[in-house]
Amino acid sequence: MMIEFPDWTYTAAEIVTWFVIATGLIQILLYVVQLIAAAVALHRRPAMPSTMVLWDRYADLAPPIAVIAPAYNEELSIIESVEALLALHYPEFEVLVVNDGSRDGTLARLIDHYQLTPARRYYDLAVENRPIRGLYANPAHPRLLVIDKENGGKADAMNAGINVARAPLVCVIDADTLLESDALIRVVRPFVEDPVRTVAVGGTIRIANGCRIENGRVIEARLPRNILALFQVVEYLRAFLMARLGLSQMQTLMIISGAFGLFRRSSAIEVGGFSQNTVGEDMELVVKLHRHMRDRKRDYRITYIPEPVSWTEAPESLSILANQRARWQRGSLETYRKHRDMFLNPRYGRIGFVGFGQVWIVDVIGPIVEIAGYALVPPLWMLGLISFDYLLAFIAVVFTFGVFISVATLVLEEVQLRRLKNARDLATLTIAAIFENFGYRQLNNFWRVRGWWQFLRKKKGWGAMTRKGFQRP
Amino acid sequence: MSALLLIWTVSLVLASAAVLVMGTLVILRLISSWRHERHLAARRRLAPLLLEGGEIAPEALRRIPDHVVTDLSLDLIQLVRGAEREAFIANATRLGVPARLARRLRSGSPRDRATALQGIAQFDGPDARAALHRALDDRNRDIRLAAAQALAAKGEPLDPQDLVRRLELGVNQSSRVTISLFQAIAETRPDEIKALVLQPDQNLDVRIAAIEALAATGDYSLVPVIAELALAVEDGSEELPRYLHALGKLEHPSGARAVLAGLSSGSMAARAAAARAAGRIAIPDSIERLTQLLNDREWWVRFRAAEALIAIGEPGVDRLRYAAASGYGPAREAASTMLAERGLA
Repeated sequence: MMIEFPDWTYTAAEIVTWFVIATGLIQILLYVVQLIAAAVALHRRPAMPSTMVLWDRYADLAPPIAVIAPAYNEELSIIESVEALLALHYPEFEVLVVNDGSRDGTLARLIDHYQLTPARRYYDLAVENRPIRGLYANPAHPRLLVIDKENGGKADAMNAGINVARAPLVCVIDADTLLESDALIRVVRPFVEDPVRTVAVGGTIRIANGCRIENGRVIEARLPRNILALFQVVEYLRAFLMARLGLSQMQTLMIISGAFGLFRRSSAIEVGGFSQNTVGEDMELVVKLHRHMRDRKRDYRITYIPEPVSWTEAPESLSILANQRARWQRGSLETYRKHRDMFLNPRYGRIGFVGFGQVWIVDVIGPIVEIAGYALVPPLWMLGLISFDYLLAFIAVVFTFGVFISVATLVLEEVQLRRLKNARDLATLTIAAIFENFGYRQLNNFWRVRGWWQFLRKKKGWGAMTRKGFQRP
Repeated sequence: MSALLLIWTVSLVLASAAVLVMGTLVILRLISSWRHERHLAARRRLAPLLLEGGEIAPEALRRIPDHVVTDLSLDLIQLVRGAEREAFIANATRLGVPARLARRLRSGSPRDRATALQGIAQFDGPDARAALHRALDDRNRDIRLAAAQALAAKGEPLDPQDLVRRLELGVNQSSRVTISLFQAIAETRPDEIKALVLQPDQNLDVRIAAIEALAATGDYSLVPVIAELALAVEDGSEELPRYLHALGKLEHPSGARAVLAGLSSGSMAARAAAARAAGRIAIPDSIERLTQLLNDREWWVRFRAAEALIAIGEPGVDRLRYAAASGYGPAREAASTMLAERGLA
């Protein structure tokens, strides 16, 4: 028996459903624009010379880089990580390992392995960080400097590194980031070719789960066997190849991942370094740079280039992934709240309209509207308040367009970059790109809504991020 | 069709098309993997022949695709130096690699052309040089620049004025690659690069790149010119630190007047560059001002001043020691830490 509802309920149900569908359509439109921009950027990108050619070309031109590696309770892996960093191929660089008040033997392991002794260096206190307890060095390892400081979190450790660094460029990485040996000489390209305008460059981050890793280097790229990690491979491809490259092409890049980014040190200092009151400090730094440069009407570039690659470990358990996604969501919302005056503000040009427009649609209202859609649209249809056409349009927005975007990104990867090893990997990822829209996407949005809730409750801190550890030979 | 149904239909069409294209790409990848295996096998057959270095009989090259010969030849050339490299280049020339690369330089894809250019730059025959000259007119700016670099590295006489125009140097962006290009030209034709500096209507970025290139070559005759420019330019201008940096690099005492003036500049970057230059030139007259700069409000200037005092030698170090013992505030910290850092405490 059909329930009779007053007329206004039909109208209200249709308006609600249209709102959900329209929000989804705007998101898809943004993605399509990004896809097109990314395709243009990939088509126009310069040839990817071999490391040897790059070295010949840049050896005398590449500015010195300080690689800042924060370490907190990394006793087990710190030596392997530092060895890999010291073996990077770059003309002039130093590795600043920041021991962020570890409670394990991280510092002792470093001192013991490299025979470090207390050292003095005249450094700046340009950006805020917790007190530095000491510096350690060994003239036999001139590229290495260990900074021991009180615990203050990742942003604080990065700031300490920025203060102590003397190189004009600082490369920030995560403790577990594996850089390809030529990553620095590739990521520095915009600073060589457009040195006056470039203030920050981001590179690609790929998922190392399943890869063969030796001595802190990815020896053979393989796809993960864990289904969650596999879905994240698709997500990372979409995030970097489509979103970041597309936004970079439009000069509206809003984030450079803290896991691998190169910044002009003086610009990072001008904006106060990494903010410590947010879990989205990497996004917030980029937004601060945009604001600073636009306020001063400077011509500048914040760029993403796909060639320099670093690898990271993706969570393989639901609980850790849920924490990570909720934290990312909180980070975006905190950045949005802090800089919301830039949104649709003509003073900030395309950053205010396109960059913040994307943040508002995708990060601020996106997850809430989509979850509301799952909760409302099917029941409204079952109650007969909306027609079947509405349900179909909703399914199109959340499933079929999703399949299109994910698979189209994969097409772009294969046509332009061809980084996947073989046809089997390509087929596996295609299947993952289709199926991630059925279940994983919804779960992800649920975690993001949880991030929203945590944001409203002003939750602070990173939560647990237990790593399984890279597969050792 | 209603708007709602249209959304559904469009989504279905797009998703199906994407999956179809991806399926095709998977099949194409299978085929290309199979071809890649064949090429690898051909490469394995060819490698010992090329490594032997002797003349290769045409029948030995049968069933080995041209691009395998080209790519492997280039790989081997890039792998070694000296006589072995020359032998590989001679062999590759006999096998027609430069001609094939010259053909690739006409490809529609800028990336293919850039890769071909990197390859052809390894060769030094007239054909290779002619191809590089043609590439100076390529529609892609990066390729034009790479061609100019390759020709300059070969000592080919290039007219810098003409290059500035053809490569659009200094337009929109100032690439550090320009400096290395000018540096390569200045090794054989320094006067032509100097002419760029002396040309008042020349683009500022081009002039500064030329100055930096000449500073690296150690051409002292340019010192008075740069010093004049540094003294004439407006305080706070972006080019002043770069002039001072060049004077420091040249390490010639005739740049002292401009450097001393730079030490009192209102611009932090200029003061830091002047302090560094004062240390490199070792200007005794700068000690007083450098000691004052140990109290500068900018850390970078204090650091460069302390560094310069150390570089000047005994009288500078004495001043630092005095500042470490009797100074105050930032000067004391800068002096004591820098002395400790350099093992002079």
